[in-house]
Amino acid sequence: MKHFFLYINISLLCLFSSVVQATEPATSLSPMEVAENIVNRSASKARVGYMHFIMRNESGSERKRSALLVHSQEPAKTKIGIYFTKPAGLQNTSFLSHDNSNSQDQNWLYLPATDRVRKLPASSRGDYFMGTDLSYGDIKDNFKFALEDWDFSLGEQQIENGKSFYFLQGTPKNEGIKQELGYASFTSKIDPDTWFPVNIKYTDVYHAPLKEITISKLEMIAETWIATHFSVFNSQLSHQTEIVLSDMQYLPNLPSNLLSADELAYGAPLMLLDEGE
Amino acid sequence: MLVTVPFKKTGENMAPPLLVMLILYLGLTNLVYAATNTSTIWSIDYRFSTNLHNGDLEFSRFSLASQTRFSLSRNWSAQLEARAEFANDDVGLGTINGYSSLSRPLVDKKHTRLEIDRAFIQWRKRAHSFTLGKQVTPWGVLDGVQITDRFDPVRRRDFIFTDVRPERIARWGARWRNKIGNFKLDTSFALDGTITQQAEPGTLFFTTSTRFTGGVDVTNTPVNISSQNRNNSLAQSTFGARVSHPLGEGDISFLLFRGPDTDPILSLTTLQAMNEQIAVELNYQRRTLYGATYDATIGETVLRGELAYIPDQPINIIGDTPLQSAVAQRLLAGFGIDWSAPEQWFVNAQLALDYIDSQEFDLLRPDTDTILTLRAQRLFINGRLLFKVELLGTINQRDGVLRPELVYEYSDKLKLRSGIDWLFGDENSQFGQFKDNSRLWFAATYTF
Repeated sequence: MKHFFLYINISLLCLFSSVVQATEPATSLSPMEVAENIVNRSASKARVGYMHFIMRNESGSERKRSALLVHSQEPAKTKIGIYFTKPAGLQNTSFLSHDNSNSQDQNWLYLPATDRVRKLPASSRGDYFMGTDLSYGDIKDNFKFALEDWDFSLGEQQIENGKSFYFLQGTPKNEGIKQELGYASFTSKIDPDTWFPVNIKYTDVYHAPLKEITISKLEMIAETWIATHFSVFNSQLSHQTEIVLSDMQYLPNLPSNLLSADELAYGAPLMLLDEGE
Repeated sequence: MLVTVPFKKTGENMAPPLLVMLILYLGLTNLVYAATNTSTIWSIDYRFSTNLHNGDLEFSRFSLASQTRFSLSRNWSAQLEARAEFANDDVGLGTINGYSSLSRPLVDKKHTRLEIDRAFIQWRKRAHSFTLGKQVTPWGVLDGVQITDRFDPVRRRDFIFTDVRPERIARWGARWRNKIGNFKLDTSFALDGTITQQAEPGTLFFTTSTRFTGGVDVTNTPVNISSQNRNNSLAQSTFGARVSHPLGEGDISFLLFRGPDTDPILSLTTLQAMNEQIAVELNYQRRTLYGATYDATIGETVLRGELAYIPDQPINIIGDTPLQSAVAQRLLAGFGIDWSAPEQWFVNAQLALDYIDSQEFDLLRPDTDTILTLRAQRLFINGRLLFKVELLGTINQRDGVLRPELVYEYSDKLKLRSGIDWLFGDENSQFGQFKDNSRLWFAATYTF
């Protein structure tokens, strides 16, 4: 009997501890610490997989795009190669971006009809990416909020099924950044287990609701969380883009010259799919 | 129009094309069996235009094109592209008497043509590649303005009104690209005498401006035009090399090539009596081009520059007798800017200078042409609708063309396009010679 009460006490203590643990993150971290945890989320050095876009308008008509996505993260450079595989009219069209922290960003486009790789002006971060509801900034930020762009605050915590979520809010640091991003504010529900947003709501530069990004599925690939299913709904245009990533693989040995402008003209490097882990 | 083109006997040259077809067929069969991955894109296109002045239907062309890529192994790939075209209109399908036997269309009827656009096999390893077969060498960084981009022959049957400008004609040859450190070396050798395709005499875009006809008024003078035989592969070949290296925020390249000029000079074939039809031959003499290019990204702009020097440019000149020609020095320079403008507009502007040294003779063209191109475009309806407007012109001649265009993506497979080509200028100028052909056009392209 003595042991029975001891077990009860230990169980209650554990239960209490877990409740405290579940609710604890929302009260113990500052807004900047939450934002830093998101920014410092681990990222794989290189990965490859298919990216499928479905774009729906108000009347329900759909357009679909599929592309091979190759992503590489180096200390001061992020390289993204997008090689369209569908529809046929876009097949073999390729896009490459190099985001450099210490120098000028570079973009290139290969259109098979022109036989030439063409240097593109660096797009404004607020410009929409290839007819989707994602901006170039959304693509480059990879569900992170750059510390140099935003002032952060925390909203009231939310507990769902015993789990606590942060509500991170942000406003651009100045008018120039606001105009560049095309956003006046964001509110995001953050999962403290993964430091990934569950959703992000943006307002436009006039503070009117603009769009909501909802992340439906995360997958752990090479010890890194990757959003493999998410959607973006633009409430001003009643237009939605759904993005599904498939066959995502970690690439430990990405050839150094692969994500270079000269390589774009050779088409999608499909052989990488056989080399990933 | 008083121009005729003599019937060209092709029967005597049938052996090489048949041999090529046989090799292609056997090669294709082998590729299909060997390929680990094969992808084919089909494209069906119909386009027509009506004249803006009189409403006549002047252009009606149906095309069926295919592009197949064979992935043979990690290092080997191949590509085969073909197109069939059907047209019974005032524009026509263009001349083919400037094609070498190897590059001639497989089917060539009055209103029907079947051509191999590309056919090559490629080996790649790391930053090295070797391409053998029918291919193009697209050098240069400017958009459609040909300063150093003169390696390949191009199609002129539609003047400059093609989806892609210039529309290149592939030739048989070999190309080797490699990278050593930060240096990129690109070497190309076209063992194929095919030259630029012209519009057929009597068709809408047949050149009548005297600067291109050696001074002959072809609209009022009986002229019989023939072309050089293009089967002397080595003497009519083009070869060249380009070296590139990063410089600042961009890339600089230097290039050199020698081959037949893209534009012909006209010469009399024999001495003729005054009352006979003039027999004229189009000659594509070889010349050497030394060039340099630079392009750099600076924020939301890309700057491009090209420079070309041709020491031995063949040209027709004004002389005591008709159709005299000479060799002159030619200098071309071009500068362009791409700007990612506010509200998601994209703007492209280019200025080019084309100078021919005329100290020793009188030219049929101005010694300096100043060419301007301006383009603005924007996507609407989430990328479904593209609006594009373009102005091309020669500033010193005050002629040009204004081209507004709409492209609507009806579905993933079907694209609808419409636009206006409004030409203006003097009747004897580059653009103005076609001003009666200003048109409203439509196109539908189904790709699968």
